[in-house]
Amino acid sequence: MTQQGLDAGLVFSIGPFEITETSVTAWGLLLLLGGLSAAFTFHRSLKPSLFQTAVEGIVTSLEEAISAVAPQCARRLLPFIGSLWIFIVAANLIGLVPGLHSPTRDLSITSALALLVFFSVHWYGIRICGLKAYLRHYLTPNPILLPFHLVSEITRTIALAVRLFGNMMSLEMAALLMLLVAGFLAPVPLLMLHIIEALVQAYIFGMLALVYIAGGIQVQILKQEKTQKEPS
Amino acid sequence: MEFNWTTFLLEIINFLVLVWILKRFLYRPVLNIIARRQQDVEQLLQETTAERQSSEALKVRYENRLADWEQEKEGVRRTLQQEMEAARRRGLDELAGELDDERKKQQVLSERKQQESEHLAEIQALSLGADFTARLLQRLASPELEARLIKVAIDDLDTMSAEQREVVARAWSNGNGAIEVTTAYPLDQARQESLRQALARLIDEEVQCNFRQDPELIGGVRLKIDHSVLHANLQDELKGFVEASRDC
Repeated sequence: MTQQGLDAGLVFSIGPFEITETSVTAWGLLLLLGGLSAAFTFHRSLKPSLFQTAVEGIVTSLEEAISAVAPQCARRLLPFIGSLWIFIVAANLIGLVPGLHSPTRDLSITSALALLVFFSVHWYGIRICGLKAYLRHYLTPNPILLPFHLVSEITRTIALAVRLFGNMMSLEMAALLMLLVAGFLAPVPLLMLHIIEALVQAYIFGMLALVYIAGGIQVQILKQEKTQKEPS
Repeated sequence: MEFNWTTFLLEIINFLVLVWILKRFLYRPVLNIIARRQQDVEQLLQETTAERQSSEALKVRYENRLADWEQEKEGVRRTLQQEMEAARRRGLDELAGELDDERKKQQVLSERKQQESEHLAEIQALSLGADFTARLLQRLASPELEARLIKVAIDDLDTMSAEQREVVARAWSNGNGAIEVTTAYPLDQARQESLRQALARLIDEEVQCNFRQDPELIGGVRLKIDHSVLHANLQDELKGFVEASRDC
Protein backbone atom coordinates (compact mmCIF):
# COMPACT_ATOMS: atom_id res chain seq x y z
CA MET A 1 0.00 0.00 0.00
CA THR A 2 2.71 2.39 0.97
CA GLN A 3 4.62 1.44 -2.09
CA GLN A 4 1.60 2.14 -4.28
CA GLY A 5 0.63 5.37 -2.55
CA LEU A 6 3.95 7.06 -2.15
CA ASP A 7 6.01 5.75 -5.02
CA ALA A 8 6.35 7.80 -8.14
CA GLY A 9 5.10 4.85 -10.12
CA LEU A 10 6.87 3.89 -13.36
CA VAL A 11 4.72 4.35 -16.42
CA PHE A 12 7.14 3.32 -19.14
CA SER A 13 10.85 3.30 -19.94
CA ILE A 14 12.81 4.46 -22.96
CA GLY A 15 16.19 2.86 -22.53
CA PRO A 16 17.72 4.17 -19.36
CA PHE A 17 15.05 6.88 -19.04
CA GLU A 18 12.19 5.93 -16.78
CA ILE A 19 9.07 7.94 -17.31
CA THR A 20 7.24 8.04 -14.00
CA GLU A 21 3.67 8.89 -13.16
CA THR A 22 4.90 12.16 -11.59
CA SER A 23 6.46 13.24 -14.87
CA VAL A 24 3.32 12.42 -16.77
CA THR A 25 1.24 14.45 -14.27
CA ALA A 26 3.66 17.38 -14.46
CA TRP A 27 3.56 17.40 -18.28
CA GLY A 28 -0.20 17.06 -18.12
CA LEU A 29 -0.27 20.13 -15.88
CA LEU A 30 1.96 21.88 -18.40
CA LEU A 31 -0.54 21.09 -21.15
CA LEU A 32 -3.46 22.17 -18.96
CA LEU A 33 -1.89 25.48 -17.93
CA GLY A 34 -0.58 26.12 -21.45
CA GLY A 35 -4.03 25.37 -22.89
CA LEU A 36 -5.72 27.72 -20.45
CA SER A 37 -3.17 30.44 -21.23
CA ALA A 38 -3.63 29.94 -24.96
CA ALA A 39 -7.41 30.03 -24.49
CA PHE A 40 -7.05 33.25 -22.60
CA THR A 41 -4.76 34.76 -25.25
CA PHE A 42 -7.13 33.91 -28.09
CA HIS A 43 -10.23 35.13 -26.29
CA ARG A 44 -8.94 38.24 -24.62
CA SER A 45 -10.62 41.55 -25.23
CA LEU A 46 -10.70 45.05 -23.80
CA LYS A 47 -14.09 44.28 -22.26
CA PRO A 48 -13.14 41.32 -20.08
CA SER A 49 -15.29 38.25 -19.47
CA LEU A 50 -15.54 36.61 -16.06
CA PHE A 51 -12.69 34.21 -16.88
CA GLN A 52 -10.50 37.01 -18.20
CA THR A 53 -11.23 39.12 -15.15
CA ALA A 54 -10.18 36.23 -12.88
CA VAL A 55 -6.98 35.65 -14.87
CA GLU A 56 -6.12 39.34 -14.88
CA GLY A 57 -6.78 39.45 -11.14
CA ILE A 58 -4.42 36.52 -10.54
CA VAL A 59 -1.64 38.02 -12.66
CA THR A 60 -2.06 41.45 -11.08
CA SER A 61 -1.95 39.93 -7.60
CA LEU A 62 1.21 38.03 -8.48
CA GLU A 63 2.86 41.18 -9.78
CA GLU A 64 1.85 43.14 -6.69
CA ALA A 65 3.21 40.43 -4.40
CA ILE A 66 6.51 40.52 -6.23
CA SER A 67 6.52 44.32 -6.20
CA ALA A 68 6.21 44.26 -2.43
CA VAL A 69 9.58 42.48 -2.21
CA ALA A 70 11.47 43.67 -5.29
CA PRO A 71 9.69 46.75 -6.71
CA GLN A 72 12.36 47.57 -9.30
CA CYS A 73 12.42 44.11 -10.90
CA ALA A 74 8.81 42.99 -10.52
CA ARG A 75 8.09 42.86 -14.24
CA ARG A 76 11.31 40.91 -14.88
CA LEU A 77 10.76 38.43 -12.07
CA LEU A 78 7.08 37.86 -12.78
CA PRO A 79 7.46 35.04 -15.34
CA PHE A 80 9.68 32.91 -13.12
CA ILE A 81 8.16 33.52 -9.68
CA GLY A 82 4.60 33.62 -11.04
CA SER A 83 5.12 30.34 -12.87
CA LEU A 84 6.51 28.80 -9.68
CA TRP A 85 3.41 29.80 -7.73
CA ILE A 86 0.98 28.74 -10.41
CA PHE A 87 2.71 25.41 -11.07
CA ILE A 88 3.15 24.50 -7.41
CA VAL A 89 -0.44 25.43 -6.52
CA ALA A 90 -1.74 23.40 -9.44
CA ALA A 91 0.62 20.52 -8.66
CA ASN A 92 -0.31 20.51 -4.98
CA LEU A 93 -4.06 20.68 -5.61
CA ILE A 94 -4.13 18.06 -8.32
CA GLY A 95 -3.53 15.46 -5.61
CA LEU A 96 -7.14 16.01 -4.54
CA VAL A 97 -8.37 14.58 -7.82
CA PRO A 98 -9.06 10.90 -7.28
CA GLY A 99 -6.56 8.71 -9.07
CA LEU A 100 -3.96 11.46 -9.38
CA HIS A 101 -1.07 12.33 -7.11
CA SER A 102 0.63 15.64 -6.47
CA PRO A 103 3.89 15.81 -8.43
CA THR A 104 5.34 17.85 -5.54
CA ARG A 105 5.32 14.82 -3.25
CA ASP A 106 8.17 13.58 -5.47
CA LEU A 107 11.62 14.70 -4.35
CA SER A 108 12.83 14.64 -7.96
CA ILE A 109 10.29 17.37 -8.86
CA THR A 110 10.93 19.58 -5.84
CA SER A 111 14.68 19.15 -6.31
CA ALA A 112 14.38 20.23 -9.93
CA LEU A 113 12.42 23.30 -8.89
CA ALA A 114 14.88 24.09 -6.11
CA LEU A 115 17.78 23.73 -8.50
CA LEU A 116 16.08 26.09 -10.91
CA VAL A 117 15.62 28.56 -8.07
CA PHE A 118 19.32 28.14 -7.17
CA PHE A 119 20.39 28.96 -10.70
CA SER A 120 17.81 31.70 -11.15
CA VAL A 121 19.23 33.53 -8.12
CA HIS A 122 22.61 33.72 -9.85
CA TRP A 123 21.07 34.33 -13.26
CA TYR A 124 19.01 37.32 -12.15
CA GLY A 125 21.79 38.54 -9.85
CA ILE A 126 24.33 38.63 -12.65
CA ARG A 127 21.85 39.99 -15.22
CA ILE A 128 20.72 42.82 -13.00
CA CYS A 129 23.85 43.70 -10.99
CA GLY A 130 26.62 42.51 -13.30
CA LEU A 131 29.00 39.63 -12.62
CA LYS A 132 31.55 41.58 -10.58
CA ALA A 133 29.05 43.32 -8.36
CA TYR A 134 27.13 40.12 -7.85
CA LEU A 135 30.17 38.11 -6.87
CA ARG A 136 31.33 40.88 -4.59
CA HIS A 137 28.25 40.49 -2.42
CA TYR A 138 29.62 37.11 -1.29
CA LEU A 139 32.54 38.99 0.26
CA THR A 140 30.39 41.53 2.10
CA PRO A 141 30.32 42.56 4.82
CA ASN A 142 33.50 40.52 5.38
CA PRO A 143 35.33 38.00 3.15
CA ILE A 144 35.42 35.65 6.15
CA LEU A 145 31.72 35.11 5.60
CA LEU A 146 32.25 33.64 2.10
CA PRO A 147 32.11 29.99 3.25
CA PHE A 148 28.98 30.68 5.18
CA HIS A 149 27.45 32.27 2.09
CA LEU A 150 28.32 29.22 0.01
CA VAL A 151 27.01 26.77 2.62
CA SER A 152 23.88 28.88 2.92
CA GLU A 153 23.35 28.75 -0.86
CA ILE A 154 23.47 24.96 -0.85
CA THR A 155 21.54 24.30 2.32
CA ARG A 156 18.71 26.69 1.55
CA THR A 157 18.30 25.05 -1.85
CA ILE A 158 18.14 21.62 -0.25
CA ALA A 159 15.80 22.94 2.41
CA LEU A 160 13.59 24.41 -0.29
CA ALA A 161 13.32 21.06 -2.06
CA VAL A 162 12.89 18.97 1.05
CA ARG A 163 10.39 21.32 2.71
CA LEU A 164 7.92 21.13 -0.17
CA PHE A 165 8.51 17.45 -0.72
CA GLY A 166 8.19 16.64 2.99
CA ASN A 167 5.03 18.60 3.53
CA MET A 168 3.20 17.29 0.53
CA MET A 169 4.33 13.71 1.02
CA SER A 170 3.42 13.79 4.70
CA LEU A 171 -0.03 15.11 3.87
CA GLU A 172 -0.68 12.34 1.39
CA MET A 173 0.74 9.78 3.80
CA ALA A 174 -1.44 11.09 6.61
CA ALA A 175 -4.46 10.86 4.35
CA LEU A 176 -3.53 7.29 3.45
CA LEU A 177 -3.04 6.37 7.09
CA MET A 178 -6.39 7.89 8.04
CA LEU A 179 -8.00 5.95 5.23
CA LEU A 180 -6.39 2.73 6.53
CA VAL A 181 -7.22 3.32 10.18
CA ALA A 182 -10.61 5.11 10.06
CA GLY A 183 -12.00 3.98 6.74
CA PHE A 184 -13.91 5.65 3.86
CA LEU A 185 -14.62 9.44 4.05
CA ALA A 186 -12.65 9.78 7.28
CA PRO A 187 -9.73 11.67 5.62
CA VAL A 188 -12.09 14.37 4.24
CA PRO A 189 -11.19 16.96 6.94
CA LEU A 190 -7.56 16.17 6.27
CA LEU A 191 -8.14 16.80 2.60
CA MET A 192 -9.54 20.22 3.52
CA LEU A 193 -6.30 20.81 5.34
CA HIS A 194 -4.58 19.65 2.17
CA ILE A 195 -6.04 22.58 0.24
CA ILE A 196 -4.74 25.10 2.78
CA GLU A 197 -1.43 23.38 2.98
CA ALA A 198 -1.14 23.29 -0.80
CA LEU A 199 -1.66 27.03 -1.04
CA VAL A 200 0.61 27.79 1.92
CA GLN A 201 3.43 25.61 0.63
CA ALA A 202 3.21 27.09 -2.83
CA TYR A 203 3.29 30.57 -1.36
CA ILE A 204 6.26 29.71 0.89
CA PHE A 205 8.22 28.14 -1.95
CA GLY A 206 7.60 31.03 -4.34
CA MET A 207 8.15 33.69 -1.68
CA LEU A 208 11.43 32.08 -0.55
CA ALA A 209 12.59 31.92 -4.14
CA LEU A 210 11.65 35.59 -4.53
CA VAL A 211 13.47 36.51 -1.33
CA TYR A 212 16.59 34.63 -2.45
CA ILE A 213 16.56 36.35 -5.83
CA ALA A 214 15.86 39.73 -4.23
CA GLY A 215 18.77 39.06 -1.85
CA GLY A 216 21.01 38.47 -4.85
CA ILE A 217 20.02 41.74 -6.54
CA GLN A 218 19.94 43.73 -3.33
CA VAL A 219 23.35 45.23 -4.06
CA GLN A 220 22.03 46.79 -7.21
CA ILE A 221 18.88 48.03 -5.49
CA LEU A 222 20.91 49.65 -2.72
CA LYS A 223 23.17 51.28 -5.28
CA GLN A 224 20.15 52.67 -7.15
CA GLU A 225 18.64 54.02 -3.96
CA LYS A 226 21.97 55.64 -3.07
CA THR A 227 22.20 57.21 -6.54
CA GLN A 228 18.67 58.54 -6.23
CA LYS A 229 19.38 60.06 -2.82
CA GLU A 230 22.68 61.73 -3.77
CA PRO A 231 21.32 64.38 -6.19
CA SER A 232 18.79 65.52 -3.63
CA MET B 1 10.75 7.37 -2.45
CA GLU B 2 13.69 7.15 -4.80
CA PHE B 3 15.30 10.05 -6.57
CA ASN B 4 14.69 9.70 -10.29
CA TRP B 5 17.12 11.56 -12.54
CA THR B 6 14.83 11.30 -15.55
CA THR B 7 11.99 12.88 -13.66
CA PHE B 8 14.41 15.50 -12.36
CA LEU B 9 15.64 16.43 -15.84
CA LEU B 10 12.18 16.28 -17.38
CA GLU B 11 10.86 18.55 -14.63
CA ILE B 12 13.56 21.10 -15.32
CA ILE B 13 12.62 21.08 -18.99
CA ASN B 14 8.95 21.02 -18.09
CA PHE B 15 9.22 24.05 -15.86
CA LEU B 16 11.31 26.05 -18.29
CA VAL B 17 8.80 25.32 -21.03
CA LEU B 18 6.03 26.30 -18.64
CA VAL B 19 7.78 29.58 -17.87
CA TRP B 20 8.10 30.28 -21.60
CA ILE B 21 4.48 29.38 -22.33
CA LEU B 22 3.10 31.41 -19.46
CA LYS B 23 5.31 34.33 -20.33
CA ARG B 24 4.24 34.13 -23.96
CA PHE B 25 0.55 33.36 -23.50
CA LEU B 26 -0.33 34.68 -20.06
CA TYR B 27 1.80 37.37 -18.49
CA ARG B 28 2.61 39.37 -21.56
CA PRO B 29 -0.96 39.41 -22.99
CA VAL B 30 -2.45 40.15 -19.58
CA LEU B 31 -0.01 42.97 -18.87
CA ASN B 32 -0.41 44.32 -22.39
CA ILE B 33 -4.17 44.30 -22.20
CA ILE B 34 -4.11 45.92 -18.77
CA ALA B 35 -1.69 48.55 -20.06
CA ARG B 36 -3.91 49.14 -23.08
CA ARG B 37 -6.97 49.40 -20.92
CA GLN B 38 -5.15 51.76 -18.60
CA GLN B 39 -4.05 53.77 -21.61
CA ASP B 40 -7.62 53.86 -22.89
CA VAL B 41 -8.85 54.92 -19.48
CA GLU B 42 -6.19 57.64 -19.28
CA GLN B 43 -7.02 58.75 -22.80
CA LEU B 44 -10.70 58.76 -21.92
CA LEU B 45 -9.88 60.67 -18.79
CA GLN B 46 -7.84 63.17 -20.75
CA GLU B 47 -10.62 63.50 -23.30
CA THR B 48 -13.15 63.89 -20.53
CA THR B 49 -10.95 66.46 -18.84
CA ALA B 50 -10.48 68.27 -22.13
CA GLU B 51 -14.21 68.11 -22.81
CA ARG B 52 -14.93 69.32 -19.32
CA GLN B 53 -12.49 72.20 -19.78
CA SER B 54 -14.04 72.91 -23.14
CA SER B 55 -17.51 72.77 -21.57
CA GLU B 56 -16.34 75.07 -18.80
CA ALA B 57 -14.94 77.46 -21.38
CA LEU B 58 -18.16 77.25 -23.37
CA LYS B 59 -20.16 77.80 -20.22
CA VAL B 60 -18.08 80.85 -19.33
CA ARG B 61 -18.41 82.13 -22.89
CA TYR B 62 -22.12 81.48 -22.85
CA GLU B 63 -22.50 83.26 -19.53
CA ASN B 64 -20.44 86.19 -20.83
CA ARG B 65 -22.57 86.28 -23.94
CA LEU B 66 -25.71 86.15 -21.85
CA ALA B 67 -24.37 89.00 -19.73
CA ASP B 68 -23.53 90.94 -22.91
CA TRP B 69 -26.99 90.25 -24.27
CA GLU B 70 -28.52 91.39 -21.02
CA GLN B 71 -26.43 94.55 -21.10
CA GLU B 72 -27.25 95.13 -24.74
CA LYS B 73 -30.92 94.44 -24.09
CA GLU B 74 -30.86 96.83 -21.16
CA GLY B 75 -29.20 99.48 -23.33
CA VAL B 76 -31.66 98.96 -26.17
CA ARG B 77 -34.57 99.04 -23.74
CA ARG B 78 -33.27 102.23 -22.20
CA THR B 79 -32.78 103.78 -25.65
CA LEU B 80 -36.26 102.65 -26.65
CA GLN B 81 -37.72 104.11 -23.48
CA GLN B 82 -35.92 107.38 -24.14
CA GLU B 83 -37.13 107.42 -27.75
CA MET B 84 -40.65 106.57 -26.65
CA GLU B 85 -40.51 109.28 -24.02
CA ALA B 86 -39.19 111.77 -26.59
CA ALA B 87 -41.85 110.69 -29.11
CA ARG B 88 -44.55 110.96 -26.46
CA ARG B 89 -43.32 114.38 -25.43
CA ARG B 90 -43.11 115.45 -29.06
CA GLY B 91 -46.59 114.06 -29.70
CA LEU B 92 -47.92 115.85 -26.65
CA ASP B 93 -46.25 119.06 -27.76
CA GLU B 94 -47.66 118.68 -31.27
CA LEU B 95 -51.06 117.88 -29.82
CA ALA B 96 -50.85 120.83 -27.51
CA GLY B 97 -49.78 123.01 -30.45
CA GLU B 98 -52.63 121.68 -32.58
CA LEU B 99 -55.05 122.20 -29.74
CA ASP B 100 -53.73 125.73 -29.28
CA ASP B 101 -54.06 126.42 -33.03
CA GLU B 102 -57.51 124.88 -33.02
CA ARG B 103 -58.45 126.95 -30.02
CA LYS B 104 -57.14 130.11 -31.70
CA LYS B 105 -58.91 129.14 -34.90
CA GLN B 106 -62.12 128.54 -32.99
CA GLN B 107 -61.63 131.83 -31.23
CA VAL B 108 -61.06 133.62 -34.53
CA LEU B 109 -64.06 131.82 -36.04
CA SER B 110 -66.26 132.68 -33.10
CA GLU B 111 -65.03 136.28 -33.23
CA ARG B 112 -65.68 136.39 -36.94
CA LYS B 113 -69.09 134.82 -36.44
CA GLN B 114 -69.81 137.34 -33.77
CA GLN B 115 -68.63 140.14 -36.02
CA GLU B 116 -70.69 138.76 -38.88
CA SER B 117 -73.73 138.43 -36.68
CA GLU B 118 -73.14 141.93 -35.35
CA HIS B 119 -72.64 143.20 -38.89
CA LEU B 120 -75.74 141.34 -40.01
CA ALA B 121 -77.67 142.77 -37.08
CA GLU B 122 -76.30 146.17 -37.96
CA ILE B 123 -77.30 145.76 -41.60
CA GLN B 124 -80.71 144.51 -40.56
CA ALA B 125 -81.00 147.44 -38.16
CA LEU B 126 -79.91 149.83 -40.90
CA SER B 127 -82.30 148.22 -43.35
CA LEU B 128 -85.05 148.50 -40.84
CA GLY B 129 -83.99 152.04 -40.12
CA ALA B 130 -83.86 152.81 -43.85
CA ASP B 131 -87.28 151.24 -44.38
CA PHE B 132 -88.61 153.10 -41.41
CA THR B 133 -87.04 156.34 -42.63
CA ALA B 134 -88.30 155.70 -46.16
CA ARG B 135 -91.80 155.14 -44.90
CA LEU B 136 -91.53 158.18 -42.66
CA LEU B 137 -90.12 160.29 -45.49
CA GLN B 138 -92.78 159.02 -47.84
CA ARG B 139 -95.28 160.42 -45.43
CA LEU B 140 -93.34 163.63 -44.98
CA ALA B 141 -92.43 164.05 -48.65
CA SER B 142 -93.96 166.97 -50.50
CA PRO B 143 -93.26 169.15 -53.54
CA GLU B 144 -91.69 171.71 -51.23
CA LEU B 145 -89.24 169.22 -49.93
CA GLU B 146 -88.43 168.20 -53.42
CA ALA B 147 -87.97 171.83 -54.40
CA ARG B 148 -85.45 172.16 -51.55
CA LEU B 149 -83.70 169.08 -52.63
CA ILE B 150 -83.50 170.28 -56.23
CA LYS B 151 -82.03 173.48 -54.95
CA VAL B 152 -79.43 171.48 -52.99
CA ALA B 153 -78.73 169.47 -56.16
CA ILE B 154 -78.21 172.65 -58.18
CA ASP B 155 -75.86 173.95 -55.47
CA ASP B 156 -73.94 170.67 -55.53
CA LEU B 157 -73.64 170.80 -59.32
CA ASP B 158 -72.23 174.29 -59.10
CA THR B 159 -69.71 173.34 -56.42
CA MET B 160 -68.35 170.21 -58.13
CA SER B 161 -64.59 169.79 -58.38
CA ALA B 162 -62.70 169.88 -61.64
CA GLU B 163 -62.25 166.09 -61.78
CA GLN B 164 -65.96 165.52 -61.22
CA ARG B 165 -66.79 168.00 -63.89
CA GLU B 166 -64.42 166.24 -66.33
CA VAL B 167 -66.05 162.86 -65.59
CA VAL B 168 -69.52 164.31 -66.20
CA ALA B 169 -68.29 166.00 -69.42
CA ARG B 170 -66.84 162.70 -70.68
CA ALA B 171 -70.13 160.94 -69.91
CA TRP B 172 -72.02 163.65 -71.75
CA SER B 173 -69.76 163.36 -74.80
CA ASN B 174 -70.25 159.57 -74.87
CA GLY B 175 -74.00 159.83 -74.30
CA ASN B 176 -76.93 160.22 -76.67
CA GLY B 177 -77.14 164.04 -76.32
CA ALA B 178 -79.86 164.11 -73.65
CA ILE B 179 -79.87 163.97 -69.90
CA GLU B 180 -82.55 161.92 -68.22
CA VAL B 181 -83.99 163.89 -65.24
CA THR B 182 -86.22 161.86 -62.90
CA THR B 183 -88.22 163.49 -60.06
CA ALA B 184 -90.81 162.24 -57.59
CA TYR B 185 -93.22 165.10 -58.32
CA PRO B 186 -93.79 166.89 -61.54
CA LEU B 187 -91.47 169.85 -62.02
CA ASP B 188 -92.70 173.23 -63.04
CA GLN B 189 -91.07 175.07 -65.91
CA ALA B 190 -88.93 177.31 -63.75
CA ARG B 191 -87.31 174.43 -61.87
CA GLN B 192 -86.79 172.52 -65.10
CA GLU B 193 -85.06 175.59 -66.53
CA SER B 194 -82.92 176.19 -63.48
CA LEU B 195 -81.85 172.55 -63.56
CA ARG B 196 -81.04 172.68 -67.28
CA GLN B 197 -79.01 175.84 -66.72
CA ALA B 198 -77.15 174.29 -63.82
CA LEU B 199 -76.31 171.27 -65.98
CA ALA B 200 -75.28 173.57 -68.85
CA ARG B 201 -72.93 175.34 -66.47
CA LEU B 202 -71.54 172.03 -65.38
CA ILE B 203 -70.91 170.69 -68.85
CA ASP B 204 -70.22 174.07 -70.26
CA GLU B 205 -72.59 173.75 -73.22
CA GLU B 206 -76.32 173.67 -73.93
CA VAL B 207 -77.99 170.46 -72.89
CA GLN B 208 -81.27 168.74 -73.56
CA CYS B 209 -83.19 167.17 -70.69
CA ASN B 210 -85.83 164.53 -70.69
CA PHE B 211 -87.97 164.95 -67.57
CA ARG B 212 -89.60 161.89 -66.02
CA GLN B 213 -91.58 161.30 -62.88
CA ASP B 214 -90.96 158.42 -60.46
CA PRO B 215 -92.72 158.44 -57.05
CA GLU B 216 -90.30 155.81 -55.80
CA LEU B 217 -87.72 158.56 -55.37
CA ILE B 218 -89.85 159.96 -52.46
CA GLY B 219 -88.35 163.32 -53.00
CA GLY B 220 -85.49 164.92 -54.99
CA VAL B 221 -84.00 164.42 -58.42
CA ARG B 222 -81.92 161.76 -60.31
CA LEU B 223 -79.78 162.84 -63.24
CA LYS B 224 -78.62 160.18 -65.67
CA ILE B 225 -75.91 161.20 -68.15
CA ASP B 226 -75.13 158.18 -70.30
CA HIS B 227 -74.10 155.58 -67.72
CA SER B 228 -73.25 158.07 -64.98
CA VAL B 229 -75.96 158.88 -62.48
CA LEU B 230 -76.11 162.00 -60.27
CA HIS B 231 -78.69 161.73 -57.57
CA ALA B 232 -80.08 164.06 -55.00
CA ASN B 233 -83.20 162.19 -53.95
CA LEU B 234 -84.25 160.54 -50.68
CA GLN B 235 -84.56 156.97 -51.99
CA ASP B 236 -81.07 156.85 -53.48
CA GLU B 237 -79.63 158.55 -50.41
CA LEU B 238 -81.23 155.96 -48.11
CA LYS B 239 -80.14 153.14 -50.42
CA GLY B 240 -76.66 154.54 -50.52
CA PHE B 241 -76.64 154.84 -46.75
CA VAL B 242 -77.61 151.16 -46.37
CA GLU B 243 -75.15 149.94 -49.04
CA ALA B 244 -72.33 151.99 -47.56
CA SER B 245 -72.90 150.39 -44.18
CA ARG B 246 -73.06 146.95 -45.89
CA ASP B 247 -69.70 147.59 -47.67
CA CYS B 248 -67.93 148.39 -44.48
